[in-house]
Amino acid sequence: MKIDDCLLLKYVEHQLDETTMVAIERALEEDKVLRDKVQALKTAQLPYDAAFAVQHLPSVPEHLHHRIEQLVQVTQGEPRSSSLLPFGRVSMAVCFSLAFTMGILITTLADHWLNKSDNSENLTTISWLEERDAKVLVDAMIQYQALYTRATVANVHQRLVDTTSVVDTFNRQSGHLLRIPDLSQYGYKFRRVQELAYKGKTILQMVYLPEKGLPLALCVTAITGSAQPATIYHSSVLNSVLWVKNGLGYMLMGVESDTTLKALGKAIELADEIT
Amino acid sequence: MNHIVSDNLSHELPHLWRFALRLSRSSSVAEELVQKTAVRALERRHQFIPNSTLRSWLYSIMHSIWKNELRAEAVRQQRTFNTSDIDDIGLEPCAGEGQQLFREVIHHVNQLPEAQRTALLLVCIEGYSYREAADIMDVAIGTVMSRIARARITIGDAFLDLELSPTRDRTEKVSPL
Repeated sequence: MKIDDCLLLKYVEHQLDETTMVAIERALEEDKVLRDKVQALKTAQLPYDAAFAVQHLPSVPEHLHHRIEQLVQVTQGEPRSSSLLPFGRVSMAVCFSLAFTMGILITTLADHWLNKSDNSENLTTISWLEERDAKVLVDAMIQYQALYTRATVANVHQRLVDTTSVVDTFNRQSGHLLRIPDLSQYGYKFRRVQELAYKGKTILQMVYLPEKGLPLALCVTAITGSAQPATIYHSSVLNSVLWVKNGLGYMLMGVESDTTLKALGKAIELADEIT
Repeated sequence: MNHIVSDNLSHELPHLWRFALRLSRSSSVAEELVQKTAVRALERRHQFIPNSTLRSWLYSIMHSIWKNELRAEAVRQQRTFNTSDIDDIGLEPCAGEGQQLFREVIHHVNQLPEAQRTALLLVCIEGYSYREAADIMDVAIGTVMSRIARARITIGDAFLDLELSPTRDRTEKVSPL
């Protein structure tokens, strides 16, 4: 019988049958190395739980507690069907956060922004974001979106036929003629488009990868209302620019500066198309 | 639909936080670990089996994220191990007479290789069975037992050298039976 550390552990913990116990005791009489191991195992029967129970650890940070609460609230507030989440090769965390982010933002955009904005080009906040609940949700979702990594997007390789299919479906259902803007001349390579859904609203999410740094996301949904100029929204981790044109609401999100985002937004209106 | 995960996640947060701290030994990494675990758990909440243990399920998610996503990056950035901010062992005031022993226990557990330390944390501190710990760590039960055995032999040897064991009996080393 080969006596290894596991067997000695079981021996010390009296987990062996009588025959094996006797065999081990016989081996211990002849082998000092085994005896030393058994002695160490017995000595190590220490009050681990009691020791660690009184170890002083930092408390849960308040902001972490708050973030988790917000995440749970958002989850409880959205439709429960997992089929609504477009999990694919992109990180599920990314899809999760983006699905909710886009749904909430676009819904809020449709419900509030279109009716209340004063259309100023220079606003740093927009009126609907002053509404506490909406702002809390937007800020929370942007926090989660900070999990979106470059490596995740870099591994996405969507076939052109699939890209075309997603866009065509959106256009067929919405009656629009959306195309994927080509931003490669600005250093952003298109990686994938996917359809998200929130409370019956279809949202197309297009993801671009710059040469360096974090991905950029453009989300589009069909909304009613007149054209609205670009409006910036700031958060501590992510910026976004929102506008409405030809019955489509656009939201461009990234870590880029306001100036860059606005320039990119303008470029998107003028860009060549991939599909 | 399964709402157990979202309904109980906040309640589990202190446990997740402690486990994250002990896995990563860094407050900043632990924050990231908890947040990613929460997101992943909510994404997969429909996969949770209602009659199973939520905390074990969350721990297995956290351990997987730590092992596969955060550990290498944390080490590369020296955000853990060399810069641990929880290994300066402080004990709560109620530790009383056992302070010296408790301090040594924590110190020697923290000196273990990570795989052994994690197995020991799950079994000896969190109270999981070998089978449950194996499921959380996604390894065979024999692997967990082997890691626990090696961890205990290392700690036992250290305590024998210290002569600090509560059951110290140096003569047993010569004549164990």
